Amino acid sequence: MLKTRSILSAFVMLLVAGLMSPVYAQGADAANSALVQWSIITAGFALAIAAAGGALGQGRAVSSATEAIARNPGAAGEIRGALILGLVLIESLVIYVLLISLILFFLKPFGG
Amino acid sequence: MTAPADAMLRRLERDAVIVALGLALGAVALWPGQPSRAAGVLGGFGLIALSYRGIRAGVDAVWTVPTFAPSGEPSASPNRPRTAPGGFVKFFTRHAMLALGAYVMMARFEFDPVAMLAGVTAPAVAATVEIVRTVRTRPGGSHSRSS
Repeated sequence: MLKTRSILSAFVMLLVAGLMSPVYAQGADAANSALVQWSIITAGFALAIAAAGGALGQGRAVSSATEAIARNPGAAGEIRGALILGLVLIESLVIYVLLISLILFFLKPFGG
Repeated sequence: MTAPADAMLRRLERDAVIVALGLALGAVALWPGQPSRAAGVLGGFGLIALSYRGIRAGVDAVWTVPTFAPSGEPSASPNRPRTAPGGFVKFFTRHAMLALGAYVMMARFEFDPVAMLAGVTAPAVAATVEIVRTVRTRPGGSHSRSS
């Protein structure tokens, strides 16, 4: 039952997308301009979501590390190393999104 | 007390540098006429290195792990930064520095953006290498089982 409903939902979404297609059947310049606008809006949201997710992840990592060091101060050195590694890996994901957003902002791969 | 963690971080730094240099050399070999690709790899690695230095300075400023002299007295840790405020400044301004650096590299110097993404990947590859190394060398790992 659930599977059927999912398939139906996907079909309806496909139909809605098909109905929206005349919107994109305007002149090439207008469509391109809309694409550029949407790509910039998407880049802004992507950056915001990445920053929020990264901040949450880093906050959890620091919180857990603090708790672990409080429980076992003798392992502080190893926890510190693992914490730095984790923070850098989280940070690298945020930098990916930063770079992709900057590509969309400044290089404009969709024209404009 | 801090030696194993510091040794691991040093290995990670070394591996990340090796990976980044390897990717840059690969870019030079594959696209000899396009130096922006190799520069992009190094630029991306520079960004993540900047971020790493900022995070490490911040963590060191917060958690200065005490080491103990043979007499039992706590001594100054080698991890202690020269100035804690400097570590905090690096930590809290790293995103601004990253954004500025990425903008300059991408929009002004016209580094290849995909190559920059590859350069940012270098620490993740180094971490993978470190994990594989740890698994292979621990007592239950495949390396010790075979030897």
